Amino acid sequence: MARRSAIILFIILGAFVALYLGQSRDRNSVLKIVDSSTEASLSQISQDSSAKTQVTEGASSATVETMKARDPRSPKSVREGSPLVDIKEAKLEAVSLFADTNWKIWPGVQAISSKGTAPSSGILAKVNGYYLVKTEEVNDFRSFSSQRPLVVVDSRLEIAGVVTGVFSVVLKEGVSSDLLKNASGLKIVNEFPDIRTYYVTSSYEPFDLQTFQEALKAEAEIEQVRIEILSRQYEKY
Amino acid sequence: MKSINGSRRALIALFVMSLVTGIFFTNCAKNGFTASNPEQNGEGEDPFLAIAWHIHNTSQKVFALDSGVAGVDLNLLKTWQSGIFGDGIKILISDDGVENTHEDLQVNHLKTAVSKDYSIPSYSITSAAPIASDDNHGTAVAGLIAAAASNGVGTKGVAPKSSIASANFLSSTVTQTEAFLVDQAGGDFDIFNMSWGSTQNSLIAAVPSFHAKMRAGVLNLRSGKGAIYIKSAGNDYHVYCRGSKSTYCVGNSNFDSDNTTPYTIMTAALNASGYAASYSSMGSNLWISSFGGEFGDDSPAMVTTDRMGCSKGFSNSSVGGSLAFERGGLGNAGCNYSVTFNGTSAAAPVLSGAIALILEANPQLTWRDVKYILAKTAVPIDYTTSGTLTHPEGEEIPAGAIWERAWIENSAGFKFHNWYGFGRIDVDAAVALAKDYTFSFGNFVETNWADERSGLSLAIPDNSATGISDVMAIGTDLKIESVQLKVWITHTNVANLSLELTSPSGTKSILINMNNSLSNLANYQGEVFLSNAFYQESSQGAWTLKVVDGKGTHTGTLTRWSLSFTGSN
Repeated sequence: MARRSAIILFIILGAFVALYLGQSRDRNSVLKIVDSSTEASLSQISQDSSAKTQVTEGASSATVETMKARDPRSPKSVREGSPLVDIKEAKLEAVSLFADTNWKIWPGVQAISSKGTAPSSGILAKVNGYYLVKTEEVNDFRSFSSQRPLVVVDSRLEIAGVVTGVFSVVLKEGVSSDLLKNASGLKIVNEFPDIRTYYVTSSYEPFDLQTFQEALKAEAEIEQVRIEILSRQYEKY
Repeated sequence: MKSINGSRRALIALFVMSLVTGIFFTNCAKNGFTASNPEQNGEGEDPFLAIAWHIHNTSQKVFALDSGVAGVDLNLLKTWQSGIFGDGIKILISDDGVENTHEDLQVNHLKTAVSKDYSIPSYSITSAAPIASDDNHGTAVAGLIAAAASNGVGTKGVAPKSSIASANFLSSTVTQTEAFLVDQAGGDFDIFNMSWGSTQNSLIAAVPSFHAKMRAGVLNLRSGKGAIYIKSAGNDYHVYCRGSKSTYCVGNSNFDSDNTTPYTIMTAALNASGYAASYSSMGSNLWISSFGGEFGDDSPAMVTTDRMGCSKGFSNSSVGGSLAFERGGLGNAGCNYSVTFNGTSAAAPVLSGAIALILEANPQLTWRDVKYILAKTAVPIDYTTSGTLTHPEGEEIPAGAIWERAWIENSAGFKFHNWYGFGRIDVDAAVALAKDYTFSFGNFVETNWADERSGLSLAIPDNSATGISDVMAIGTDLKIESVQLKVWITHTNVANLSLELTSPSGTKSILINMNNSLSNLANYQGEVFLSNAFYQESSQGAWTLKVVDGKGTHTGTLTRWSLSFTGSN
């Protein structure tokens, strides 16, 4: 009985020894997965970070004469990006609101939110959450309403944009946001005090975009004013 | 000699069997892999880990026609074996929403109100789950980072103990305002994953406040050590030419201004054979190459989480194609996983997960340290410095001109290529360096366009390898971390033009390749492009800009250019 117990104990001990040996071999086998050049670089890098840089794989540096050419393939989903708009017949209007830019007003076109039902016809383009469609209505930047965003075109890039009536304002260093919070006729839509940037619009509609912009630019404590124009579609890669 | 009786022989046999078992079958569980066929039907601790070739490439086919190449993977097994899994690292996934209730994501999804659902007015919330039927992307991205480990379901993320939250900036239900763009780059996170961008067949204007937000993030977040912004380089190596719906051109990651700041780590995508994926955008602004796979039919794509249920997500009962897995077969009965996710969209979260491991190994690393470690330990792919590369769409270029160079090694010893950045990420090497890291960068300096050449009128020879060159003397002596070029050229078709910088030490970097996707676009008007090829060189000395016109008919003039450096002095 005692002898049998000893033998069973010996078997169990043998199993533990085998387990230990297996783990040791695991560590050694993991190290051996690393090829010699990478293993060398690991030890060197850990000792002196200025020594080895980007160790190339042993085989590639010895045998590659020219790089392998790439065989391009069409992406899974066809993306056009911001589609070029056909502006050949458009009578684009250059206005001082967009001075020093390539943006011009595209009359006879309105922006409709794409969250609702898509128009059955007449879609000229889709831009960042809006369908652009022809309209008989006159959109006047001097009587702007966020319910009828203004449509503009970058005449150089030939892309359309939607003016939302929101402006980004960057305050000068040290200026309190109370300047904006206490301003009459202005409301803050979003604020990022860490970068002194506030997105603002008029408290009243309709309002004159140009007058609003000029008032902001005239304020000495404001460093930068930009009108928001939504023109790009951020796409999933 | 005494004979051995039967019972003793049985006991000896048992002992021998236990030895054999211990030696040969303890390895698999320690590595975190089930010892099973890669095409198995959903069993084990993480049943689909065996087909996650980017974790451990054994040349699995993953239902594709061709397999990858064994050993071409993240090389992270030592890191996992040391117990590093991204614990304590917080990652914001800016995408179209993340299914926080997913069986393989819920344990790692943050439960506090740090996610951002931009479809509702007060958008700080505990989750920003998919809303629209096409909001499938973010859940796939999330799984590559943080799919839970050893829970009996699904796969395993690169950082399976990291914590994730979601900002649904890309949801179909969200209007992509500038304010939302800025907001999704902020918050108490260590890493921001941005698997998105704009199509690279036009020049994408900058949103200054977005750049300012990222700058603030790298200077202030993580208690001043800086957040890490990971961005996909783009899938437009092969893209419709500007204005065309039938002709393909070569895009460039530099065309998107969001990709040209020093504050992001731009990643290209590799396939399972270790080469640049067929779609992966090129650009001198690339930093590193991570894994994004191919399309899953010819060559493996990525296995990851998918919106649960067979009525939604990438894998669903009505999806086409030959992959039964995507329709709920082969162990994916709930359609909770997908094997066709790819793109630099996939490369970014794989890299985000890898960086989470690096940060857990050394939480004191700054954002600049992380970039350095990645560059220092990256593995150059297909490395040679000889020869040149021809235009992939077969376009002719002037005799003697170069469309793209092979690898360069700059004067600081860093190897770089416009397809790969500094090369393939090597997690074990990066973590090893992180653990013993002693390098010190010093103050972060930005020269902010202090150096400019203006009032020029340099005619660019049409369709000629000669081009025109102009030299700018830089007095500032920085150890370079990035170089940005701002350029003004009057030209009736800038797609024809290549832009190449040469540093004082003679390193050449093509920032824009000739005959690209900007078809028929007139003029450069101060667009900014970035190059990482000069990393750690000195900025002081003579810099040369060379402009080459690679095609006839259109002509133009270089009128002005400016350089901005970041680095340390």
